[in-house]
Amino acid sequence: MTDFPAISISYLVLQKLEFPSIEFPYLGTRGLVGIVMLIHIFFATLFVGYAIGSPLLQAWSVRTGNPRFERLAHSMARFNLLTFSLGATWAVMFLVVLVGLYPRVASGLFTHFFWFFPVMAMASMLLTLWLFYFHYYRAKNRALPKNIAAGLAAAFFIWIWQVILTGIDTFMVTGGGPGNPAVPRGTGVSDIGSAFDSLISPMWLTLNIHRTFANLSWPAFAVAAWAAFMYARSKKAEDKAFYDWAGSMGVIWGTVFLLLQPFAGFFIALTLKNLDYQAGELSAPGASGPYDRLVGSGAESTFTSNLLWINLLMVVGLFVLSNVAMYLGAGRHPDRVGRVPIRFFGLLAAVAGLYSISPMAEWPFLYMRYIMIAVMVLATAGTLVAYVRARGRFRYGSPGGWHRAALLALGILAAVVTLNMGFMKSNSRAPYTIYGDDSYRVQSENPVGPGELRPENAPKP
Amino acid sequence: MAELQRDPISRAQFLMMGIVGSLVGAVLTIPPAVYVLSPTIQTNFQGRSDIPDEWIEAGSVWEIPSGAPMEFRVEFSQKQTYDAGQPGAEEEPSPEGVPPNVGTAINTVLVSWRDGKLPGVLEDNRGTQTLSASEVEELSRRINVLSNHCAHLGCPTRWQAEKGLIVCPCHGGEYDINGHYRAGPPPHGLFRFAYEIREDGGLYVKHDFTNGRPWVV
Repeated sequence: MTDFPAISISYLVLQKLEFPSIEFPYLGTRGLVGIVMLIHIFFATLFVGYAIGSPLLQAWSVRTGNPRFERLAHSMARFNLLTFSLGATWAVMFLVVLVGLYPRVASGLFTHFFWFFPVMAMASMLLTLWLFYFHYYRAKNRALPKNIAAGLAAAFFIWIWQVILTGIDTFMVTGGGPGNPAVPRGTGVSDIGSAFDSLISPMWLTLNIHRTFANLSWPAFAVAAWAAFMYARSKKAEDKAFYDWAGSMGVIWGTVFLLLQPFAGFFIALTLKNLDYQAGELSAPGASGPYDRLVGSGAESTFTSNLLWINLLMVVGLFVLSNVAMYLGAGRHPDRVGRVPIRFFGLLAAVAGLYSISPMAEWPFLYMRYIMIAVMVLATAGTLVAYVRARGRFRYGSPGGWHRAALLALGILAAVVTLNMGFMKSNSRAPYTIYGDDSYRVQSENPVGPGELRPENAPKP
Repeated sequence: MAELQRDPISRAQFLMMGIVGSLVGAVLTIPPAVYVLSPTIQTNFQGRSDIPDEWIEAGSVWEIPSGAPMEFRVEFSQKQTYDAGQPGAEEEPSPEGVPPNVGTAINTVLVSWRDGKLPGVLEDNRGTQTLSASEVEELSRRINVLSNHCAHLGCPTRWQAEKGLIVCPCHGGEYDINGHYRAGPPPHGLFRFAYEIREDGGLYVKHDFTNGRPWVV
């Protein structure tokens, strides 16, 4: 007991309330790290998308003479400037919880990837910020060529950041292998060659392609949702026309990159499957490779495979909603040109998509699910072509309520898909996620041997 | 920018204020922060174990086969960093006999004979449960008592009978039956527990390691 009665009493009250211990129950230490990271990712993905989008739209504005591109580019850059510190704060929070809860892993990664993360990636980030501020503020001075060049350079450097961070991220899932050189002893720093070997782990290329497309697709759907929202708030006809136009742009841009995503995702799964040193060697009861855990091999679903299933449902939802949004958006054409082919392609995409997630997706043969997903993608491409062809004569300024509802739903669904994809990817590493960090008392979750796996991954009787 | 330039504070004054403010802030915050974090600094960075220095029985040398390591689970008591001395903290053992403010650290110990070969002592004395001092010495020279935490990032390694190697499922590190480094990212071989063999063949381990400490940054 202490000499201060108030402290003693409050401590006793807290004990009586039986608060959970400080080991982050419900969430778990992994859950805490994951949630902090996901909040960061929400802003970070938008930043990457708009850093790339802003100078490109500005260049397009110069080329076409359409001031709406310039206005949208400025809005994107402004969003990045306003939200960068928020996203960065969550990145710092992430590092704090990572270093605090997993000191060994954090220091292992920092020393192994020293030349890439603390040096090259941070240098890229500094260059990104400097160039992006230049890009934003010089826009007001109409120094367009330099301004566009600075924006494109900023986009390049933030993409380099993404490439390096994805390398470290994928090292945790598919990195290493017997052929990888040993990391230095003690606190030594790995040389660049050894770190690069680890950086370009098997999943690195495919995940980078997937993330690059994703960072261009979901921010565009976010633009569409934002435009639908802002339309309702705007009073002037000019603003209404701009937001209607921006919604249309968001759908086109988002759908173009969405079309590529199923293929990139398929190749990620293929890479995981071909990962020889993990797939064949984890024959111990209850253990399996990342691919098995991802797809739920052996007719046993895992938490990660359930996430994959949910993601597939939502991806089909994204495709169907894109078709719906383009069908309703084609009503802007005075003669409603484009609606007939869009109706055909949209229905085909919806039927194929629903088939691919139905229980009979593997009938009449095993690969029917993949074929149906491919049909859905091709049909959506048909819708996109019909929509873009009709777009030349669109009259902007009075979109229907259903159209705006579809845009809002698209933006929200795209955000959920993005975050759930990250959640799923990190879970493909489970249960090997707590790296023997004994200083933190999480023994119940710490797989110290084949018999000490998490309950959900334990072999079923 | 125009508004900033009209600010009555000059750039030099602003920088001076920033430097002085940082110094004052550092003087005020660093000592209490070090005081509050000192238990963590001691265990995680200075390498002081928060696990009592005591021998725990892992198993018996009679159980260890030839040609493959045997897995033993050992549960060490572990004093919690911040619990002791807090108001309201328990001071007596619980009715189940668990000491106050103590958790447990469960470790898996991989135990094998050098190169997988059963020592002659054991072959000669199969069934005899008492070992002489020279036999204990002989066995102590021939035994590998390894932590199963990979020397890379600490994943739980396991024996892969088909390859005749101890492998790590996370990044593909490989070790031979003696725990020596074979391939992959680990910087060296598996960590080795401090151990002793007693006359009855009991194998005892301490949460102490003879070739570095697995949990220290």
